[in-house]
Amino acid sequence: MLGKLLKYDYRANGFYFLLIYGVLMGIAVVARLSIVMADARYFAFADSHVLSVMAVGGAVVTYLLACGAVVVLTFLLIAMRFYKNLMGPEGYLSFTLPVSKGSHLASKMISGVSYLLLSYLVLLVSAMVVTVGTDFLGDPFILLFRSALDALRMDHLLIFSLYIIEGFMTTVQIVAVIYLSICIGQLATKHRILGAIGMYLAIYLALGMITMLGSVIFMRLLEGYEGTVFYYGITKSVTILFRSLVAAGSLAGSLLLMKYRLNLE
Amino acid sequence: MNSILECRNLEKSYNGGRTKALKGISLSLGKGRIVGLLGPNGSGKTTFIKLVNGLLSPDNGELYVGGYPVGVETKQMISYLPEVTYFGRSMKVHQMISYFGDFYEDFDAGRAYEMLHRLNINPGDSLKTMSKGTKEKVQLIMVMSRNAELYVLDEPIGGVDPAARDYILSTIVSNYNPESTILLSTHLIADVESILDDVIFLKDGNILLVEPAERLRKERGCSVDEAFREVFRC
Repeated sequence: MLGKLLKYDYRANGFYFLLIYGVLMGIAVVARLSIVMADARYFAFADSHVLSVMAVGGAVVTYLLACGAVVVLTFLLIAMRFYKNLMGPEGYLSFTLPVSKGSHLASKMISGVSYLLLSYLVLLVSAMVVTVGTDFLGDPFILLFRSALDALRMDHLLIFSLYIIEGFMTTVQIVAVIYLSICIGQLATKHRILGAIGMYLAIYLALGMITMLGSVIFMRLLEGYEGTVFYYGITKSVTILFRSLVAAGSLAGSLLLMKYRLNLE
Repeated sequence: MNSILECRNLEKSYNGGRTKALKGISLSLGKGRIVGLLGPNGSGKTTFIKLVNGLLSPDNGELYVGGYPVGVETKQMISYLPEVTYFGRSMKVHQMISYFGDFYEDFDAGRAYEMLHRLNINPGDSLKTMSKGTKEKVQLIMVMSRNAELYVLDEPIGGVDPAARDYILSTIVSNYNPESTILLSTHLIADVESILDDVIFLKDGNILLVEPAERLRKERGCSVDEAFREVFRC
């Protein structure tokens, strides 16, 4: 049954994601064209570079705003699918299907995480469309970027792998916390969406405080090892463990609430 | 085993226990019966139905359908029609049929298309283009196209005109398997009285009466509707 649930979960948002990704790629192509045209001095008929700067600047700013919109819309679509399909009127159908509540949650997690990862990929590809093969970013930027990667020890294979795993677990944690917030929000008799948003902010505030406290402790414990593979290996591993625990706790909380405190009105 | 649904001391409250919707009800529904769950607004009908369908968890008590506690097995046996429209607004009728076909082994797509044809409902239409009455008919067609052991229908005629009520009731009677049980909640008793085998009167979360409709009529010398009005007189 999980496969069938996934089919409908992917299908429910598929059209909207395709539309969003299509618009982003379109904007990326326009930004790229404006950079190519500026490079080719297409705007040289103007007395100054003002037109060129305006065209490139406008296209790039629009592209960056579109990137932000893709991230926000991805979160919104994932949250709305969960809320509408399980906690809204559609929940009367979903929860009376011969499917366990664990399967419902698993389907929503797999589809939510994969759509979020797909959004990252589309953002990366769109960034490549805009920048690769042009000198738009310039040598100083690329040098700065490379030195940042070196400083973070991303040149080391093990550390690079840990960054990838951390990114994945952060994605899982984000989706799991969204679902937990919605499950807690539905306990309220009124203003359930506001309650869910409030809960999401409260959870992230608490997580932020724990992360800050943990960072201070680890900085003290690992004093003298900063910048080493050992330092990043330890801190990344602990972060991955922390994100995994938060994700697992959020999923367990969501499942318990769906099983024992479901409150469809 | 002759009973399809059994509950003992079933309790459910809301608002942290301040509002008691069901106050320890016990009952048993036999197989092959059409049972009217009757009571005024706020009597606990919908709460009971939600508990049977696993949409709420009881605070206390036991509830079994076909011998199983409420769960995946019981959801395979129950075909449920809620008060609300539970399909997405943009869903087309043929998509609903595929959806039911995917999840319910006992769903008969041929029967659904036949009923749609009889009602002149286009399978290519989406819910958002339909009137309230047509939406209710479509949902009822989906529910009655299953070969379920227990049909739970919450206010199936509540929001439609009298002509549509007749169609809905005839759909219910002509499409259910006589081995199955129908639990039907409504406060429009006069409309459903003729099809009921048994009646349950529910008031303020308590069961006042569980009786065959015919015996009730004989004992009281009046219709179920009149008995209801007498019992629930304000």
